[in-house]
Amino acid sequence: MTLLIARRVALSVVTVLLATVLVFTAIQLLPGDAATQILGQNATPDAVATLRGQLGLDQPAIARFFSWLGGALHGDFGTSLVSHQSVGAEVGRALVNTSLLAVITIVVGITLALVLGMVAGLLRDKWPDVAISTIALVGMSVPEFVVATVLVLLFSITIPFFPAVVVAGQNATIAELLPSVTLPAVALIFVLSAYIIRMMRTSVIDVSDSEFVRTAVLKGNSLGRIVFKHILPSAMLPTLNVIAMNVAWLVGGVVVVESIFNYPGIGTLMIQSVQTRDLPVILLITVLSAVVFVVCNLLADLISIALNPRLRHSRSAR
Amino acid sequence: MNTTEQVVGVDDLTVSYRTGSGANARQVDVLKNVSVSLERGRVLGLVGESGSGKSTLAGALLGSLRSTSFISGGTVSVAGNDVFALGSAELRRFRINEVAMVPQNAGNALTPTMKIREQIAESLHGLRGDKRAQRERAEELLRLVRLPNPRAALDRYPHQFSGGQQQRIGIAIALASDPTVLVLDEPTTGLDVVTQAAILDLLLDLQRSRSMSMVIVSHDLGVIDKMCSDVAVLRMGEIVEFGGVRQVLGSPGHPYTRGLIASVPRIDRPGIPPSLDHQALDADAEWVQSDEVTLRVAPVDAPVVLSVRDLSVDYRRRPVAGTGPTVQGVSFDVAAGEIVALVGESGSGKSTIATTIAGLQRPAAGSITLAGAGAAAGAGRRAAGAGGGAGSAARGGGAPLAATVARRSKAERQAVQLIFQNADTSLNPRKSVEAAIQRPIDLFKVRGASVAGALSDVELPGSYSERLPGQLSGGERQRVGIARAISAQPQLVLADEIVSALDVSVQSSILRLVDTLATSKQIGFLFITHDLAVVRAIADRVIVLYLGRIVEEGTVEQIFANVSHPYTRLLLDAVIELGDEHSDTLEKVADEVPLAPPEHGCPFASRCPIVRDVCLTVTPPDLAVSETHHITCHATLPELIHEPAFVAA
Repeated sequence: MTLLIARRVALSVVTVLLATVLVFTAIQLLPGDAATQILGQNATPDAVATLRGQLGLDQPAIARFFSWLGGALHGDFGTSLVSHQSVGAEVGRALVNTSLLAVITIVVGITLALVLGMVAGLLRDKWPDVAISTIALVGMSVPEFVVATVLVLLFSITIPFFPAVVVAGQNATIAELLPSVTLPAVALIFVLSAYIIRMMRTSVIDVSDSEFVRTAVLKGNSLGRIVFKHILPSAMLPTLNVIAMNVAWLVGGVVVVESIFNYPGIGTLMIQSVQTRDLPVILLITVLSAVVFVVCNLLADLISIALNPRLRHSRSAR
Repeated sequence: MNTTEQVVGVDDLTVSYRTGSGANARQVDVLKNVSVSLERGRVLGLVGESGSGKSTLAGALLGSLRSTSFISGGTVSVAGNDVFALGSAELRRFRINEVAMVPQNAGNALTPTMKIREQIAESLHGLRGDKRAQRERAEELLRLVRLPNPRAALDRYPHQFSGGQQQRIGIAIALASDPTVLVLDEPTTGLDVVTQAAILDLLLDLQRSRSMSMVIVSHDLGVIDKMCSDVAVLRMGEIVEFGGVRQVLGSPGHPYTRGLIASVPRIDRPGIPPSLDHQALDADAEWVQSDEVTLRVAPVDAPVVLSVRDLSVDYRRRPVAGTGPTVQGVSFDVAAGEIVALVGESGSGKSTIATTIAGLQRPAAGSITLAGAGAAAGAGRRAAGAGGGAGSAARGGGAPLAATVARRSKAERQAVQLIFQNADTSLNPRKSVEAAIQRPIDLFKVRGASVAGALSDVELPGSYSERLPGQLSGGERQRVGIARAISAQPQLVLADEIVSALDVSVQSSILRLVDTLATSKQIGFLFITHDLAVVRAIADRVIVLYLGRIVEEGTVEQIFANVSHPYTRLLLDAVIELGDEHSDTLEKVADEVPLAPPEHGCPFASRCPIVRDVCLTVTPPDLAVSETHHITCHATLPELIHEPAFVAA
């Protein structure tokens, strides 16, 4: 089992490395390099060549990749072309802000989605199921920017209770941000939980129809025991992957929702950097999203192993 | 037992469900005016074909119906409780205290994410909260059902046990609550004969020692006859006959019961039994089922179509100390028009051998030769026996088949066809019958074959070509599966457990069809089954496999006569047939097959009653009883002679 986990973790590290190579290559393929970006269209070739030398752009791409990677392993992700600050520090600040939003969204969203999905599945075709399923369907069909805009319209403009945009800048403290987290978090939760609710519902219905649940009922078990000991562990298994996918999706969803609310997180920084062609920042943010994807899927795999004895004892006994 | 207290009373019970909607809504009765009763300490059998409502009735005894079904009349009373009048809390208490169920397939009925100990402890209501006492009691129960190594088993999960072991665990769980009535739904269906015999003996012991009342649902008349004191025969939701087991099964009063009994194949009687004729039965209540069997005639001096020599298949990724390959040293022939049965328990390698012949599994060693393969497709196949086409002539009349199907020629692929156990999962549910049968005809450009012809070969009306598999009954689907295979005009058909999922009367009609097709089209059949009675009915020659090695080979008469390999003898002794005395329980042999074949010696040594030292180290020699009858054993011939278990009729 330790071997199994070690293998999964090692595989994840390799995946992240491959993703980094891909992202680095993609950025190399963008037209124009950092030197022309900084100096502008009308720069003299001499000036460009000098700057390239200073930035180390005259070295082959592979050498630059390894020097970037070497720096990255020491926490040095280069210097922003725009602010001339350390990319690590800049992205780090935004990451803290985004994490605040993400943690609230994930904790509240997943818990809510699992509970609602379970209730819907257990009360199949009764009114709570119909209500929950309908809302989930709406959540799946409406894009997050529409949800966010409608929320702003309802709760900031019609009923001015929450702030529509975040006025604090990149350097805002968590205390300053907290009141303005609500609306973006609600928008993200709404979309995030929709898929998880649908999956959990289907999965609970499937498991409830199984022979072993019928047997558990016929043994005279209490409802609580049937749900939490017999149904839930098996129903969670297919749901876990959907959760992992959706948490990973957050990274993308966050970009849109953050920019609507002007929330000073990764998403906003990403859009700014794309507009200003701040390549080192874009590189780091893209690599980070790859890491989030891989880590989410790794966690889902590990929890599956914990929940499913068939995975744990794959080679033993038989 | 001289108390005559009634523990189960089903009175005029009707269970229905609604189907359709609006004007088309109608009520369908799953059970119609069913009345049965059972006294304390007795065993009631519920017997009938699929769809007869026997499982619904069993569920009703525990107050459990399918979610769409409801009681539209009558009452069920068990141990003094009016089951369907109980509130939910009372129903729970009733299920805890009075009844328990052993479900049909324990593999699906055990919660996969819970340890065995927890699942038993759930039913130990008297010991709630006392972990240590629960553990001890659970271990005791597992020992009672003779599960090997019960202490270690407690902390394992269901998937770590074999099917037979899971069934034992299911029984242990049901016994844990010490029920007044134990309901068993097909408790041994899907288990090997030896395991079945062991579990039934165990249940009878427990029933007698605890004077428990039991209700057993089964389609197997032999099992009902052995286990039950009373029997109710169900047909399409109605009870056609109810009474003492010896009276009902010994001198049946109802034509349906008579027909059902007549359609069961038996190991003491050669020939394919007649099928129940439901139409005649519906038309005439006094209709009498003929008990005329169809005797199979083996082909004489037919050319060999398949030669398998020294076939070995190894599933192990790396050698495991003390174990040998999954299949080893298997050699046999199949002649044109001949039906060769491959018999053995699950894990004996019968399906592995078939998939290897089909080219779906790569052999580790050995050769598979198909006579006449490589001859031009379609044309001259019949002539292939005489000379073969240009291609095969160069290879001396027979061509060793490539190891994988991808490397075989079209003609070779055409020559070997498969029929699967579950026709419903092997036919594409969205393709019509016509599409399924047309496909091989187009693919192999078979001349002179048509969908209509293939359908008439399998005795289905031509109008069926438009139907989808979902619109066919189980037997009809299997006929389509056969039609699909023979429309390619193969030389060899691999039939893997093709009748084991069917009701007995449908089973015998499929067997008659296989008999006809083999003879009329000169197709060699490799017929894989675990059911010895089916073997007796259909096979010309029999190969008995144990852990991937041939232990005995002979004609069907020789296999069922009085000289047998100890394993064959064990199988024959374990068969439970209607009308046996059922007095002698099986000798206490180890009923669990080892997980892997041993590296050296005889594979059966660990269970053999006449084992000797040499069996553990040296591969047993071929003992020729006659030219066609071979036994692989270290024993001498006299040691292998036994009373013929069954005297030929």
